[in-house]
Amino acid sequence: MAKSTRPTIRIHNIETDEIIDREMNDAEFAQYQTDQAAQAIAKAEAEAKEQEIRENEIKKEIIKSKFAELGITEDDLRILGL
Amino acid sequence: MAEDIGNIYKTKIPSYAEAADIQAALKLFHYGTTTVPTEEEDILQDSLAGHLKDLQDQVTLIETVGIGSDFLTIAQIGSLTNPQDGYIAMASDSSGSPITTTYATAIYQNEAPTEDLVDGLVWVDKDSSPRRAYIYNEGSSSWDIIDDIQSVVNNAGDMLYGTSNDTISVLPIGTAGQVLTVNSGATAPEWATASSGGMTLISTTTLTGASVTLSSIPQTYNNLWIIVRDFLPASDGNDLRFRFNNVSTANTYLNNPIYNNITGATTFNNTYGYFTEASDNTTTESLVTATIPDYTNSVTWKMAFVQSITNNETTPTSFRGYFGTTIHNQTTAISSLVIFPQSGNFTSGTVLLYGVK
Repeated sequence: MAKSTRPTIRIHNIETDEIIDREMNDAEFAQYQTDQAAQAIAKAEAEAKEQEIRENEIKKEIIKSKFAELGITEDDLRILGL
Repeated sequence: MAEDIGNIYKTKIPSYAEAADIQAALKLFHYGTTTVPTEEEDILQDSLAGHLKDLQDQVTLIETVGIGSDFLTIAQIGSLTNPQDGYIAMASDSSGSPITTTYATAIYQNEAPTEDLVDGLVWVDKDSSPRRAYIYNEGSSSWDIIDDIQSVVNNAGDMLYGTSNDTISVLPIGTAGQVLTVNSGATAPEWATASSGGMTLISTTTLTGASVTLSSIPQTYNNLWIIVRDFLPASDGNDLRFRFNNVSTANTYLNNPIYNNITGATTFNNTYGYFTEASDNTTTESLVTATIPDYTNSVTWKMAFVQSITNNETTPTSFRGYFGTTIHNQTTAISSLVIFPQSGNFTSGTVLLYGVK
């Protein structure tokens, strides 16, 4: 018999105090996979957003250095509302 | 030829035809025969000797049965020899009280009576409190307690209660801290554990596997209060999540990460609620508390107020905090709660479920 790869879950019946540890059934495993997929998407979106923020920070630093070469300070830019 | 004489007490006499022999005639008259009997049993009935024997037999019989009385001094009675059965001797010089009969009655005094003790004598202990009544038992020479209600209790703290008309039972004392209440059938008092502060620990469950479900949650409380101690996910940076009644339908939860007003037309956008922020997977001193109010009603949406701290996944000596509200757009009463990590399995942790009255 092939070893199952499905995660196990614990069900604690409060009324009877019976505790059952078993593998996920089909419906539970399907929901588990859905959750994991959603989590993977959310994680990817979060990482992409963080990457975008990091890239924007790098771009800001480049622009700041260019302004500095032209003798324009951050206070000058603030006055201009930038 | 001898002939009978007389109809009463018959005997014999010689006939006129016989020779005049006076001795023979007297023998015949006395014994009913000219032959004188030598044994008592040979005596003929119809003869003077036979009638005398009858008298003797009757006297002997009377003496055997016993008869007779006399009026003698006590000394004379004491010196009687071989008195017959039934002989009555009355002492002429006797003295003393006449014979009396003591009947059972009731006596009300401090000490138990010691005289005239007869079956059925009742004594009410005058200085007992409450009054105690006894009845005298001649068989055991003792005072038996009447309707001894005090003997029904055996131990300190025993309490009496009625089980039906004119019937009592004993309720033994409970354990320390218990309070007296009415049983579920409303038929008798019973001792029960006092629910301290109105909270009852319903269950304690170790977190393991990919999820833990608390099912068949009793519907007898007003609110639920959840504690999760030392949640430790297998995967680093995972948070802790939950679902009411295992509902995972899209857009049925909203997690508001801070306590503030949510204005405007706010939509539900999630399939679960949050218990924590991300957590370290090697160190845990995390703690979660969550309150689920009015969880048994079936007419309103449900919500949970959550406060939690977890060890930061990058710097475990620092923490992440989550203080938010989860709102669930289903009206079904909450009878189960599913707790699961963001992904993978639990390493450890404990969830305690309290019912709040």
